[in-house]
Amino acid sequence: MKFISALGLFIGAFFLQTSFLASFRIFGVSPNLILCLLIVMTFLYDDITGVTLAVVFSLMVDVQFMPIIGIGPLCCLTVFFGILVVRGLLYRDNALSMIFMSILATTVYTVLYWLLGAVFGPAYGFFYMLKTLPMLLVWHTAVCLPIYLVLRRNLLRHPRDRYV
Amino acid sequence: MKWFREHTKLAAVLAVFTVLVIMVVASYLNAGSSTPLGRGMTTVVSFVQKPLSDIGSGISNGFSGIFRFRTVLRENEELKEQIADLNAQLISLKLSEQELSDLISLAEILKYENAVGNNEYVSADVIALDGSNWFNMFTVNVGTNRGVQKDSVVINGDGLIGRVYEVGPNWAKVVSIVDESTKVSFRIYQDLDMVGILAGDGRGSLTGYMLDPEAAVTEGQMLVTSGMGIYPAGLTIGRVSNIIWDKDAVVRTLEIDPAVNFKNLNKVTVITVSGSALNEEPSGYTEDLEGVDGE
Repeated sequence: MKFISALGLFIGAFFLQTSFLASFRIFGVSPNLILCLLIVMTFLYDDITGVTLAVVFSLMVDVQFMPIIGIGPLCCLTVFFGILVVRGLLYRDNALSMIFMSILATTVYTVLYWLLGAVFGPAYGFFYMLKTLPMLLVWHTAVCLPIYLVLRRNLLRHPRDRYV
Repeated sequence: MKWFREHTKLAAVLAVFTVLVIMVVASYLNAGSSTPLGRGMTTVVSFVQKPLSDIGSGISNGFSGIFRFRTVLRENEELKEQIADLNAQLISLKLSEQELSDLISLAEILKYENAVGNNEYVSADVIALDGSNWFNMFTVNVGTNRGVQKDSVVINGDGLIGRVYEVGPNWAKVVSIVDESTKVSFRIYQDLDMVGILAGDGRGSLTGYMLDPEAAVTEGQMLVTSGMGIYPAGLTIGRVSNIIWDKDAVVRTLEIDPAVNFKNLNKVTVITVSGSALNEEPSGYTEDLEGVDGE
């Protein structure tokens, strides 16, 4: 994916996430679009454009809102490495793989965010975090899947996939 | 050096990781202080966030209006009844106005400071939320240009929301009371002699305790700010939802349902101090409790 296209996507995600989507919370939960883009782009592409932009824009969210800066980007970086490890085991042309990856990455991000928040930042309860997790998983799956389906159309089949 | 040249990508990632860890630790050690970069960025992005937020809330309100048609009608009828009640109260208050004016005159004769409230109210729109789902920090579209300062108190029609923790020319960042690690002093509305202290419980709600362990608190009682610290007296905080007697700590712990729905904030009011009052010393009758309403 071209860097400029990816940059446009992340800029849009940043502004939508911090303003527009605040009005569309379901059970008090709204999606983290930057994380969704990171998941899809890392899953589909071999370059590091996704993680670079995710770290930069997570940092911007932290700078704008959070008393502790850097927790979001650290979680993004960890999720990136996790996807790199897991995606080799999955068939990348299958939407079910995307759903699985979205659920796994969201769970890892959320738990890690809570953990780092509990150590450094303003604390919120583990069970409170768990309560929001199911809705967040639904949101992220609903967001990741269409992005994946659109971006996948521009890709060639992956020659290194084991089913090819 | 040879290893770095051979593993450039890994070295770059490790460098980014190290920088991020340093940032986390540095911001942890300097919690509450903001950078010029952060303030500048907030000023710039708030220009874009404001119209997007307006569009989002417009669409959301439009949709909810369609699906909540019957509820809106019912609310309309209830509001009409409330207006009738309030009109009756207004007449009664006008009768008390003369008495109040007499008392203010008396207070001025006695040189009693802050006899007249110095607060001004500034309406603001929420233009950006942290998007984390767990914290309740947000940005509003008023700042120093409208007299907002650090620690200005933020409310809405339902009650107390929080305080401003950082402010720029045309924006202010607000941290809500449910996120606060600091404490708020409260009184029970039904019996103003009963005082306690509350804080966020880490689950999006509030928990507190009574200073007097024998205080006869009951479920459903309303809590208001006591006036100690930065929060003015009389702001609605919420209702007692559960009372637990902690025999080890010998305190009565309260679980509190906040009056404000923190997940659905669009418009707020910021209480600012008028220009003439900015340089005044705090009034003599405001007694700060140690650790209450402070950092």
